[in-house]
Amino acid sequence: MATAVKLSGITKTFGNLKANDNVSLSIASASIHALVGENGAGKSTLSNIIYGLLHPDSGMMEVDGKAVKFKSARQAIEAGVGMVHQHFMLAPTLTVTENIILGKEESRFSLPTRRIGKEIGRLATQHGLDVDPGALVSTLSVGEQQRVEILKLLYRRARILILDEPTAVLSPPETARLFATLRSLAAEGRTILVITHKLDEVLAISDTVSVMRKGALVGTVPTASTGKEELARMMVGRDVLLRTANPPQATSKTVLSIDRLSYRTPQGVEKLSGLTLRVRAGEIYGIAGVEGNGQSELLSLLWGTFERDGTTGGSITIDGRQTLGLSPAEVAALGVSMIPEDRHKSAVIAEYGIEQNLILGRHREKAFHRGIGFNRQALRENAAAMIERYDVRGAAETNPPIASLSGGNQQKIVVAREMERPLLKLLVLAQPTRGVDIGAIEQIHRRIIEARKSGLAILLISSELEELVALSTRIGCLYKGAIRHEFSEEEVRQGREAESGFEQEIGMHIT
Amino acid sequence: MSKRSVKPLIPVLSLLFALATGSLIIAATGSDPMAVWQKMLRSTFASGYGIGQVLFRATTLIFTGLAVALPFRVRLFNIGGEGQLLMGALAAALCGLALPAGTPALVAAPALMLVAAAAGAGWALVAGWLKVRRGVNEVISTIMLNFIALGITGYLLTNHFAVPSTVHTSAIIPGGWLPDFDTLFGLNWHSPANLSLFVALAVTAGAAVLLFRSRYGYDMIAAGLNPEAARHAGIATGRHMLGAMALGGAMAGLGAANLVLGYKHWFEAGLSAGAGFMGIAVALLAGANPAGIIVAALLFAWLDYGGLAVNTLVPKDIFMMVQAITILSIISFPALFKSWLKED
Repeated sequence: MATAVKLSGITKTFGNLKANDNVSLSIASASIHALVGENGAGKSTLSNIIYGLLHPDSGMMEVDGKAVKFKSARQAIEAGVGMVHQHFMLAPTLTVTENIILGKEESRFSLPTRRIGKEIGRLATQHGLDVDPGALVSTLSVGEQQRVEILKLLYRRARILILDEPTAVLSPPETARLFATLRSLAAEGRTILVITHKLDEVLAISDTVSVMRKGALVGTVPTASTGKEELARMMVGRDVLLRTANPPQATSKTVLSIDRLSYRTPQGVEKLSGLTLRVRAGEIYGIAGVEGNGQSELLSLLWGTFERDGTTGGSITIDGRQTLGLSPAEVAALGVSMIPEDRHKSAVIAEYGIEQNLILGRHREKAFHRGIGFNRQALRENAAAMIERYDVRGAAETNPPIASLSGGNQQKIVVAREMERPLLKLLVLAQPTRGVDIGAIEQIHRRIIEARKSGLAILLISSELEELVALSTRIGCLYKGAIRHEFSEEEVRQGREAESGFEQEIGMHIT
Repeated sequence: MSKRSVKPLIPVLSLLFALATGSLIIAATGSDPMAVWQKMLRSTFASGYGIGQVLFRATTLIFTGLAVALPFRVRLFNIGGEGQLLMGALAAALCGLALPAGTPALVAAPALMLVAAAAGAGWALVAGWLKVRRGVNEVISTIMLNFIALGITGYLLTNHFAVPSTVHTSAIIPGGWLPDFDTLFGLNWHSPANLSLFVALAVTAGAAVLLFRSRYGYDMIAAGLNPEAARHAGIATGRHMLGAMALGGAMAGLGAANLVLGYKHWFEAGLSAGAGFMGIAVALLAGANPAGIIVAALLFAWLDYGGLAVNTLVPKDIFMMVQAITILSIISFPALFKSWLKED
């Protein structure tokens, strides 16, 4: 089989960091090749080198058997290499057609939009990339925007397509659809390099998989001859428990009850409509759902951060006390912790030190006080204990800003802070492992199970079905602002044994 | 030379650039730049009077610089220092007139300072309230409030409180006067420098403690750095915006301690001489850092008084340009260098 891309001895350093260390890799033509690795393993650096955005310090690269040295992405595109970034690069105020021809206009003065629109339409139907060529990009869903990005590459006659975390923003059906497109493209002779950290998807879609760790290529194996455990071991460098042990447990009294909760934004958009659920002490209630079905609003009502101009209905009761309308500080004082969806936006203050972030939201606790300020000794001891107990890596003794830690370690700080709240009863977790490495996911999952065992009531909102199935006692399917279906304890336990079928079943209830 | 070693030199480089440009402009008007700079240095640093003038001007600028710096920490740009200073000054002067003549200094002076701070804070709270409750941009509201304050104080002065055929009120009771340096230290400077410089330094230290050592500062800075995360942590961001605005206004109002209690002993038209606006530049140069504000205030005070002193050699308008260029380059150079330092 012919080789589409051949890398030999690629090395790239940033300061003291070897982002790519002597990486050699061959990608076969007309195949789907997956590149996996933890955050910071060097996947993005390598793909940016192939796409001409970065220049290697040393090493050789061949495309279709010809040695190349791209000085820019433009040269890469001319050689037939295209890339879909994780964050799309589209102009929202232009139409699909205009976005696709942007930068590749055939004439300086007139745009034969109709003819080009037809060509785009043809490419689209051929590969299942349906999207209206005349629609404004701002009106498209993320899945459709991704299709536009792929069409852009096809229109530029790219033969080698690099996709960086393409499923991160997609719902399960959209993911399935993307995979069908990728297979059709490969069958037509195009080469596809998918960068991802989701092992299930690697196994589902790729022909070959390469694993990177700490800048080096650990190995390349045919997908058919490998499995999740092996890939995880290659990624992390040790055995990883992909499925945290989740023994059944007797639950006791109801801690959180939400009754016919509804919410309408100040603009009059209905976000929650009659949501009802109960979470008992000693259980993890998982909420499955495609993003935008009311998860954010549910969290903001629980925590008291919602826009007060909106209209609310129904009730939230925590440990017998009405909490709808209380402020975040009042809710927290009842023994409630929350890990919000977006860590950077809502859970940490990037410029504050690790010690300061470890008390954010818990800074009213007297144990941390001294005089009008904080007891620095107590803060330091607290940080040392949390760093030890939650295995936070990379935290220097000098209390550096939390932004100096990797995403996974920042998340561990947040998890530590929220789980160690004194007199905790209810833990609300939203996307607790988003952007976190597979090794750290394992640790966080173990913490969540331990917290459940200690008798906490836990509400878990996650877009990762795998995570929900692994951790939850019961699962509620959130669709258009209400729990549309609830899987009982028994159903979830059985579902865990037959995971993929169960995930499909959940998928049907959330779309 | 490595990029790292250049960094501490940036303020010096920008000052040199400003001096060079200033020299060119002065030369273009037919004067000798060296003579002008010499005269400027001599008139500011070679005499007690000159030093006192610089310290006096720096005192007001420390207050008005803090007036901008504190709200800046919660992402509010307080352009209203001028108006807050005027309101503080008028309030202090009027109360100083109303107090019984025999009120002892230990009571009168602190009381009048409190009045000045309260008046400044109250005036700033108008903008703060509009921002938090109604979403009105504080830049626009504080600018407008400056005009309104100018109107109120001007009207009250001219029509009600001015001593006939003057533009000032009568003098406040002697108990409200703050002693000048000559009285304090037995000097013979005859300068307006007075006790309020030490008030300014103490207040600056207090601001630093509040920001960096207190729980209030922890909340306030968090609210400024990441309002969303602060709200999640149960910090009332709106209340901190109001608080920071009130504190800023109180600082500007305290500028009256220097101008009214320490120097003029009355309220008069044009009393503030633009110190409220100059405070913006002081705070920006200092990066809203209390310790930096003292240095920046001294620098601007020197430029201010030095410019006045060389009036006989260079037309006033020319020197105003030189001053503005200096401020502009000192503020913009670090920003220019920052982008250059980042590239590697």
